[in-house]
Amino acid sequence: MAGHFWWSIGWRNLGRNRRRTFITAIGLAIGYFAVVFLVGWAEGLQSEMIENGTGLVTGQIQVHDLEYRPERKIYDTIGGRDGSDVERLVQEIAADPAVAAATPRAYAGGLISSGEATTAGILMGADPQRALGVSRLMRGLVEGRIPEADANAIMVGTEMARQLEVGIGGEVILVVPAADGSMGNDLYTVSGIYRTGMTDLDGSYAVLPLSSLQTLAALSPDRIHEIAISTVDPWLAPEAADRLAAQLAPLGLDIEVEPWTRLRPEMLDYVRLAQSWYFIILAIVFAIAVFGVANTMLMATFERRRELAVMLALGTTPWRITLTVLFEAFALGLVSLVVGAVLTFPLLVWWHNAPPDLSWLYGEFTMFGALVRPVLRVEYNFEMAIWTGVALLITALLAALYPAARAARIPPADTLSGI
Amino acid sequence: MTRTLPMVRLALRNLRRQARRSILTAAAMILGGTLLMISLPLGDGTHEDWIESAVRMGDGHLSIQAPGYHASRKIEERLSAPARAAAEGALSRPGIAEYIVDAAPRLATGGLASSPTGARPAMIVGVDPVAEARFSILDEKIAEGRYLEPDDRLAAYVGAGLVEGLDLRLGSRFVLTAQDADGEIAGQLVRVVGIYRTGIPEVDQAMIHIPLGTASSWLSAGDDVTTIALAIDQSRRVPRLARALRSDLADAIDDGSATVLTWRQAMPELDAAVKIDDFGNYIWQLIMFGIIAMGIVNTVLMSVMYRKREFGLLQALGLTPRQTGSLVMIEGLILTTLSGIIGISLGLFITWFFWRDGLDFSAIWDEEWTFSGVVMDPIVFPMFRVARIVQGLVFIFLIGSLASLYPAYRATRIDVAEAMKFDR
Amino acid sequence: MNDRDRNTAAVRTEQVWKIFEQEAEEVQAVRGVTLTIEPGEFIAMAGPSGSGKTTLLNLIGGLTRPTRGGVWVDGRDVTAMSNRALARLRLERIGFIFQAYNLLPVLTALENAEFPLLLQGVNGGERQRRVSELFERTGLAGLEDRRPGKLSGGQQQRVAVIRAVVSAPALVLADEPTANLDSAASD
Repeated sequence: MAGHFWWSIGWRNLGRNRRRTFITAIGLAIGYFAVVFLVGWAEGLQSEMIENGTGLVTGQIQVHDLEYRPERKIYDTIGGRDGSDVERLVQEIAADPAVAAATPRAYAGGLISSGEATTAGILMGADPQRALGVSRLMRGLVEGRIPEADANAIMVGTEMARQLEVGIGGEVILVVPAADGSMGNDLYTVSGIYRTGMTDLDGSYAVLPLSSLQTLAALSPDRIHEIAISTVDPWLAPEAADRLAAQLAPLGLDIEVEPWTRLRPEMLDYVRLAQSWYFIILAIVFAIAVFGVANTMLMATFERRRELAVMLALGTTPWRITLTVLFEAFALGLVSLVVGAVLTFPLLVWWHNAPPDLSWLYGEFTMFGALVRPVLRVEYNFEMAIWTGVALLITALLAALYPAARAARIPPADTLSGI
Repeated sequence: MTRTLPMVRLALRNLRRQARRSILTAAAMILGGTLLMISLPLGDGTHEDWIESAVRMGDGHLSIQAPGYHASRKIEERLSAPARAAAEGALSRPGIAEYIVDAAPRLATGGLASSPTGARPAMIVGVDPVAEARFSILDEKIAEGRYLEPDDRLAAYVGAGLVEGLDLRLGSRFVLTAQDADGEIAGQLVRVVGIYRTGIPEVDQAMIHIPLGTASSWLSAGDDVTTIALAIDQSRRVPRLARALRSDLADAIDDGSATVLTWRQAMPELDAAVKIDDFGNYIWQLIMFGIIAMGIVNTVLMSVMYRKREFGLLQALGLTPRQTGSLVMIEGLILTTLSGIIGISLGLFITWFFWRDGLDFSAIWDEEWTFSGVVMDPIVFPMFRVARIVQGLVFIFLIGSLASLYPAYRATRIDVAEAMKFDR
Repeated sequence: MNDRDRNTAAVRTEQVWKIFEQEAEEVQAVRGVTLTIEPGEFIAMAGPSGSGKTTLLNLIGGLTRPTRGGVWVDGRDVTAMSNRALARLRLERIGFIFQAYNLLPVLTALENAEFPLLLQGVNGGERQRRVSELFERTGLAGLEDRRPGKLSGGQQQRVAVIRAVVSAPALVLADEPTANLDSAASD
């Protein structure tokens, strides 16, 4: 028989008490909003953490000599003591479609002294132009400019500048234990000051031109410690790393190509755990919402028990009665979904594009050593939006099961005679 | 009073008459109240845990130090011996002393740790081994060897990250280099006696404990220290104690030789982490109760619509529309408050019964997880506070009132003549 | 009475009783009624309010089950049927007209009238043909798309009558069909 007929009975019944339907729909719609928004916010936090955790310095993929981590000894350069064809490596890596930028780096730990004070720091030798695409640290420049290639110039963090009491143009002496066992030292000019907001980082990382650091630390131009790579999307990194490892294998270098998911496994674990909570949130939200719908459907069938009795008397099977009630609940679910979507998506788009500033509430903080800004950043998760919609409809149906079963068991004679 | 009592009785009868509907609405509220009283104590417990672990790892709930030291971490900005004595005097005063659980003097500076493998920036802390062992949880995070002992001279307690980075092992010697109190670069040879692992990379890769005596002579600091770290019994006493200490040390503070910092000032990141976590929880509760409120609105509104005739009759008998509205309000409030109290009690009971000895998340929780420099403890201890219960009750009462407002308004607008004509 | 009678009678009841239990008090609504109605017969029951007319109709229509005794409709034992089978029987063999018109408020007059045909799975064209003819005959033509709320009592009752006869049932049970009717329509 024509299914749409029972549909339309359910649908029309919904329109009989519009106020109640609307209030019930708002309840479910809030539930929809809650899940989609909370998941979006959680993903915003995660993205923030991943982007800042990988974007500031690390990059999404790193290439090292197999021996380099975790000691980070100055002589464990890519290709061992002989070094490698750095330019070729970088170009091969940059050719991968998932790679946005790649930059070679060398590191040395050392003391930085101004006339006023001395502090210990990590000196990062970077190709100034290439590094811009990988590390946002370089883009955090607040004063001066990025050191030019080959110059004896250095960029320090605001915190280090404050501790050393130096400004742009100030001179500092770098003292580093060099790769040949000697102590390298030279005079540098502060050309730029950056700020990331992470005091630890701003007080310990100093950037100088790669060639300049190589000279200071007695490394030949072929010797670098790391190639840092940024990918177009952090989640493409694991795949890209495997691809790059295979691609670079023929070069015969003892290297590792590690994505952030392996460099910082705890971040990945955290994301996994957070994601496992999505469905718990969903379950709790709709467990609470189910009562509202059940109540409404119970009232709706109770009010109509006479009509239902007539339908039964006319030969409608109890199953059909159940079905009309379920259809009605499903239609209510659809209405709620529309209300929920109208409520949710504009807000989501708005907050995604212009995250509300929450700095009135809290300051910056770090998760797994990554900076998180005080903004309400939301990310889209369409898969979750769909699942939530499905859960909403299932909730509506579940809530209607009991009222529907009761409706089918109405005693027609008693009900018709007004008892 | 004599007027409201019959109203309450009427409201109660109505709720009972619509038992099934009332129970369904109450069920949502009870569930909400239960979840509220599970999440608040667990959240508070988690935060207390973070704070406790962070202050024990760092500078305490409160710390006394020279102005500027917190930002610079430079030995130049230190507590002079007289300022230190004044501070220690204040700590033994009644009204302060009884809340101080542990106090640890420290002489700390940023420097370079170097071995034949290389050099790393490090935070070198000269500590009193006995006081520090009681204060800090660092000595409990031992992975190898032992913590510092009172007779140690050239000993160092080093994090696993730094040990790896410098390729050290137990018994290895390495050199600490830093600027001393006179502004000269000074070196000090020390030997690894113990290795710890906290799981916080920032700590494991940088923090070194050495005996205070060794640090004082190496850095030519005499009896000066950079910080006196204080642990108190409960974090919520911090503001009061900070005030007491500040008034006690007013002289030293005025002449710029000392300052009192709370953990919120010293660790704004942790403060932010606690606040955002609370904020998330509040938003969650708001949404939950928003959904519950819709259910209440519907139930109470329907009970008004079904009883138009009854309300019409009451008004025909001389009840003012205002009284009719308050009858509806009372009905809604009884429903929400009763179910809210049940939910809150149930939540408290569940939390207390199942988790008072800690809720263990270690199955899904990685021990290496850090949040603003705090290791997240996989075992969460709920924290019960009367203030939270009162807040929960007030919140539920507010939600109930808001949800009953519209139906009550509708009840005041009933047209008596129309309602009496209304059939069925 | 022989088997042939039993099978050809439209309705037959034998010593049928219906006793309601109301708070420990027994109400004997129907006391041992035995009757036979032949096909084509027109029977009217009269009696004061509360004498059990509606209950007997409900027993025949299978809306209520007897306390004891038997009811046969179209030769089939109603008391032995499942609820599902009863629904089928009502759908195919019985037309009901209730005291109040009891139209479904969310359906239009036309949809109300064709409801049994719809349940029977009669196709749209056929439904249309049968219902419009009856609408025509009862003077309801033009009111097909109105909902019951927009019809007068008499118009509603005529829709209810059409609904009862539209599927050409073997038996039409009418319970005080004129109780709520305006005088013009009851003529």
